[in-house]
Amino acid sequence: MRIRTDDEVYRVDAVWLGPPKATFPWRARYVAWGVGFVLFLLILTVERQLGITFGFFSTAWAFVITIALTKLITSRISHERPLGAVLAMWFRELTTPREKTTGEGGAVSASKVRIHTQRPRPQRARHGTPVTADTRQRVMQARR
Amino acid sequence: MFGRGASQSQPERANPDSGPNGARKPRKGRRLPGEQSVPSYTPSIAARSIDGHLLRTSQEIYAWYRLSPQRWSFRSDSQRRDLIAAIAGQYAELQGRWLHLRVTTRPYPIRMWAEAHVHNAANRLQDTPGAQSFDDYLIGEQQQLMGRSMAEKEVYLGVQVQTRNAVDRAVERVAPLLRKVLPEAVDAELIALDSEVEHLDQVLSAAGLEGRPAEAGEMSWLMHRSCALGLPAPRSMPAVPGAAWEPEDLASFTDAADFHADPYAPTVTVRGRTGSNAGVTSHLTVLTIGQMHGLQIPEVDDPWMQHADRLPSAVEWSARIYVRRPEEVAGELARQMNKVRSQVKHYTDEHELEPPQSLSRQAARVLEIDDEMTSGFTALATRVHSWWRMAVSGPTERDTLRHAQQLLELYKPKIAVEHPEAQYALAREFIPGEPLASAAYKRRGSVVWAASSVPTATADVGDRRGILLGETCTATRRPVAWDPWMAQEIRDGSGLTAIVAGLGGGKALALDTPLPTPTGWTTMGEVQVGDQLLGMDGKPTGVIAATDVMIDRPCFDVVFSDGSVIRADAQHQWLTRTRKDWKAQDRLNERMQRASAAVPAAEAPPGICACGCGQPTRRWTYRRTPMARSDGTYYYSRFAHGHQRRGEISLVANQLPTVHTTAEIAQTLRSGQQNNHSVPVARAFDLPAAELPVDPYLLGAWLGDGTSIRAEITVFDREIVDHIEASGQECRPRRAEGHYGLPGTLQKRLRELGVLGDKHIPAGYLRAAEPQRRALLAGLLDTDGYCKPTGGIQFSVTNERLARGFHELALSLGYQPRMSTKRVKGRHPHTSTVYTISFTTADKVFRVTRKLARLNPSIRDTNHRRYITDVIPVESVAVRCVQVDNADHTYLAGNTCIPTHNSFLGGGTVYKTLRAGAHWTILDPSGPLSRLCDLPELRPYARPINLLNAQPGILNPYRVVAEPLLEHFMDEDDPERAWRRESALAGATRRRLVLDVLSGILPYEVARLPQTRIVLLRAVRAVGGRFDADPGQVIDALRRDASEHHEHAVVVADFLDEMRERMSLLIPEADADPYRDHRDDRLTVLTMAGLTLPKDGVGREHWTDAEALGVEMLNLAAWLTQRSVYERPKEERKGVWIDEAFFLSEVPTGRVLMNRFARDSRKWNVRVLLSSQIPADFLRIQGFVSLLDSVFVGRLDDDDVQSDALRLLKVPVGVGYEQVVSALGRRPGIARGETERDRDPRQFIFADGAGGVERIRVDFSGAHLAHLRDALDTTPGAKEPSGRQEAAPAVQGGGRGEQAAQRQEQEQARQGGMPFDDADFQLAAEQELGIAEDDLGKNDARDPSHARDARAPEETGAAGGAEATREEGTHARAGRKRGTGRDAA
Repeated sequence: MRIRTDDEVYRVDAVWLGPPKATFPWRARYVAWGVGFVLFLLILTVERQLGITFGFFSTAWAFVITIALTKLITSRISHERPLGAVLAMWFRELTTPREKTTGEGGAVSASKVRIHTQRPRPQRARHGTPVTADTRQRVMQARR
Repeated sequence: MFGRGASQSQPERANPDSGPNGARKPRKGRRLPGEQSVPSYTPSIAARSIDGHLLRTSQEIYAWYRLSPQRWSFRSDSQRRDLIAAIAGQYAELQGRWLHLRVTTRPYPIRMWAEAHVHNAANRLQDTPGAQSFDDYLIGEQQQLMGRSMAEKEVYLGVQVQTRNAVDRAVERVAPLLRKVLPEAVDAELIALDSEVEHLDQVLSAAGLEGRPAEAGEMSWLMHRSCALGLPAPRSMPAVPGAAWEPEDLASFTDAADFHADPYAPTVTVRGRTGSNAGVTSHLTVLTIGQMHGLQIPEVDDPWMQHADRLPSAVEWSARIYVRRPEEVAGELARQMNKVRSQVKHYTDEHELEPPQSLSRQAARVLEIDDEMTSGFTALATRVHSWWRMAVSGPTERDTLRHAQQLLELYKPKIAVEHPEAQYALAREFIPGEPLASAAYKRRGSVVWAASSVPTATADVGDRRGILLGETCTATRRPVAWDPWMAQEIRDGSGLTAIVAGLGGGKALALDTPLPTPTGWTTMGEVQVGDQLLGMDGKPTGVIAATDVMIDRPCFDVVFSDGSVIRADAQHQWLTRTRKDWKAQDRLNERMQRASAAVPAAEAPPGICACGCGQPTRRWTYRRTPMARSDGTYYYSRFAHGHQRRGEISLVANQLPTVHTTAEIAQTLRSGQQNNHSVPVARAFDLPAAELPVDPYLLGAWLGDGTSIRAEITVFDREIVDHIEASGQECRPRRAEGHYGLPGTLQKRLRELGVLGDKHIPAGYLRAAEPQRRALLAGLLDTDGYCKPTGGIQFSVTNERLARGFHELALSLGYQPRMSTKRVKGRHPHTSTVYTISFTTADKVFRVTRKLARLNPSIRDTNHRRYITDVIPVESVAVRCVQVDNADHTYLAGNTCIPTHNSFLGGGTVYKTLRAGAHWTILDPSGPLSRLCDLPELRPYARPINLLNAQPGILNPYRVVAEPLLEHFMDEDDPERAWRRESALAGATRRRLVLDVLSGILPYEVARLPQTRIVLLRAVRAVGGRFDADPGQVIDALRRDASEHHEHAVVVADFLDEMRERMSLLIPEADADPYRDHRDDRLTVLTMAGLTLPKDGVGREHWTDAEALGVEMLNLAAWLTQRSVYERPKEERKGVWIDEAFFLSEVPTGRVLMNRFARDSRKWNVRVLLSSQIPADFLRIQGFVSLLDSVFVGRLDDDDVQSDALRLLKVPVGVGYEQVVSALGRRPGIARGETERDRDPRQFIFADGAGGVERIRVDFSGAHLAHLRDALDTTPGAKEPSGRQEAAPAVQGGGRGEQAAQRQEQEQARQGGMPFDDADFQLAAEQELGIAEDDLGKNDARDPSHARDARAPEETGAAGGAEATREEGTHARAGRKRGTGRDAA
């Protein structure tokens, strides 16, 4: 039996050849048109942000950059790898866990632990108990 | 690892885990007062729990199934299409669900095989000092398969059960509250789940996918392998929890490995963290299936998932399939159609351009799909979306990428394989429960397309703990192990195995087939008439004719007067001499004679001139008269008086030998009664003088009339003595008349030649120069030769080896000797046959004048031509043929140099299983397997027996059927009864066997008469079926026959008495019992070297006496092997191998034997190997194919034979697998001039009884098996294995322990005390074997009636007194009929 996939059916390159009777010399998919339009607006925005004023050359350059970027992007996008998937894969690639060269934690060190021989007791010497030598010693030991 | 940091930052979910069986656990959020919260663990993968075969993530539930492996090879195309359709149907029932298909492997390294094998070898042989030990042998086996693995492919399918929608989740959250109000609402999800899971179980267990719910161990394995993708399999798996897996338990999988990757790197690095993989780093690449061309499955292409099996390393697959509902698809198709149409319109209408071809193709395809989906039964047109990922791994990145590249190559050009980015995400997709990595590389198709990948197609054959046979020859080379006792011990199957491999249907061979010669090698293309080849018995055989290459033309078998056959095509031209030719030659001779006599004599008689002038004349002339003869020749001379017209003598015969084609020869085969055509024979070969230690005449004389152990000679002819003395040897007369001693170094020289004590013609003498050979011939003939009055020459000796040597000597001198045998009364069986070689010649072959005088010089020498006696059409072969002048017209060639493939495979199997602890009994008529007994590690445990030289009575038919013992039936319900029934059956079997053997020995015309059968049956019944009888008693009973046929009985008895001499093996000597000693050998080889068997295709009426006897002896020897099975404990692993089992279909008891084997092979744990070269012999036995367990089929060249072999394999016939059978082991394009021996392993098609059928290559090529290969190599000219001494079985036999005759005494005691209520068993047994109600004549009408009476009590099962009285009655009646001889069986 002849076994075939259906992928053929879904690969319709919808192309806009131009207005009726006026054929563009290039063949651009609708997707490319859409992406190009969005990119153009984006680039113009970026230009404005950078302070480049509106002028013939700035627009022309924007146009050129648009064409270049559109070509770049649409070459990456195909029926096999639609735009959404390309973006998803790019995102996944970014979030891939990387090799950990430094270690977390390290040797255990106890240097930050404070040691006292005796635990602190509540101070009952306030009400008239003279500060005896052992009391003072205790207090000084507690402070150490 | 798996982004643990990320998961820990996720908010803790309060997921109450309620399993499908309704066990509820307290909610995690709710705590008792004062109890601190236990930190809960959220696994870093999406799976949350595993309950049985259900895997739950937080959003979905998947049910996992394990799919059974399906056999793909050796199935017809229609079977394969059906399989694909079944799988597609199952997919179509899962509409609207997501499927996750996982293909993984469970490795089984050779180390594990070795462990299993040793564990299985319970009773193995003790190591013999000085020979290879078992450890070394096992090390050798493992080294032979170093680095290989018997990995098993496991296929799992996860089916989405249900998406837990928002309502369900909400219900779950408020479950504790809702339970009080509406308990059904909470359980509703679970109940619905249950029925749905059952429905899925049912759908997937149907034929096609044959899935069963995955067990806990399998789920654990799958999870582990998916979470540690790319690492080698762990040595030990974590324990499977008794209850369901909780989320915490899933950590055992996720903790096993770490993944990391560099940005946009082509591989992912996997590092093991726990267990045996700790610290192991491996690289992993995930590829995805891209665009696919149309494939022709199954006609041309393999299922496309099978291409990856060819990679040496394992490939894991993960496929996500979504089965779409038809309504979704319809809308989409319509949209696509619109797109296409609008594009076309855009091109044509708006821009007047031609639309690209792809658009029209797409439109057509849309219409096609639409048609599929709407017409008729639409299930198989269901569409799917799928993403197919493959993962390969390797220790370094470079290896991994190389494997990836190999995979790409494997799939080119029809399938594109892509290597995308986001490798880590793709690797995560392999874990059950994880979401899809990206929507890129989506493959759309129908369920049939998805099913045609046939993920479960495997090429597994054999088991994994048995002996190593070799490896499969399919795309994957996988070692094949076979445990011959696994079927009986585990699968409850039978133990019959058939091994079928042939030499090839004809002798026609390809031009580049190497042919061995005595001096080296030649090829079929180069061999010429007169070249020497080697025959089957190892002796050189001359090529007497060689044809040209024939291709696809009808062929004939041309049969010559000495029996040799050559296959030639119909148009082949032969230079034959017909009767007319030699008549013409005679006439020419006559003419010449007359012409010489016509020289005018001195005195011519007077006469009248014949010209008409009437004058007297004395001149005689002759003239040719134009008188025509009846055949149109004008060839007659007449003497006429006269002077006119001197005639001419034509000095050339009018008719010369001309060429005739085979077809013409077939037309004009006979003229009158004589054979018309004859072909010249190559002359005796011319060899250089050889250096001979003993003078040839002297040697010949000594061989004829000398004392075998000394250098002495007894001759009464003085001339012989004179000749001997003339050659330089002194003859010293002794006291007795005619005795002469031959002093000097002669005895030493004879001993060096090896003829002292073993008279034969040494090989060097057969290759000496012609005068030397003639001297030898003269010496032999002077002493033992005889010249008949008519002039023929005869040489008679009782020494077969000497006779064969003489035969060859005569052949080498250009004569046509014929050998015949005759039985005489000698002292021993092996001196009771006299071999007579006779040939006719007028040459002076004698030196003694007395004999010379009897030579007839006018004998016409017929040694130079062979007559064509028959021309038989056969089907065409496409090669060149040579004819060899050999008695059995076969010779060795090339790949078939080793005459039997069967012996090689069987011998290797026997050796390996012997090492692993089995007991074998082998019946090998022609004898090469007795060499197995010589191997040093087997010699203390092996015993070769040559039945023809063994004790008389060893083939006594009454003894070869074993007597059943009571202890064998202890596991039955009623041992006593079962034992008695078996005893009756044994008795009946003995009687049947004796009947058949004696009928077979009688001449055909006598045996055919019905009275013969009657009297034999009567006599056999008289003797009874007890084990201590013998056929001599049957002959005596025949003589005592007092019924109406007694004259015929006496006649039959006379015939049998005449054959009694030859039947000495059947009739024991009076006081001897060949079964007295009971030995405990592991290997017993029964040979019958020297037995003559009838040729294939020869009808029973044409068998000679010797051949008939041979067949019966072989039959009895086969029964003898069966007897050896019952002498050992039931559970012990036993094997029986009957080589050349074709005769089993010739004799009636062959079927009985086969049924016994089939019945008992399971209970008694016996593996029965039956080997033959013609599978039709097995198929002729009814019901054989259903009794067979496993089959090995080697190369067969004949079409019918191939079909029969496929029937044995249970493979469809006529779909093209015959070519596979004929192409087994054929090497394409052998280089010319190769003189290397063909030691390549043999190819077989192996069907193990468990459903696998594959092509395997039997490979015993390890260095540790070198001595085994030498022993099994039966090609002459093979290097003699070093260190092999002559076997002395008798000497060894005495050394082994011999048990006393307790067993026999026991049996006798039991016989004495056995009651007589077995008549019913006995009659039942007779019914079973077909000898009960035979034609005993009209006056025995009582027989059927009391047989029925006796059967009735058995059927009603009455026990006790009624039975006893009834049987007494029958016994009384029976006793009268049976005459003497108590029938105690």
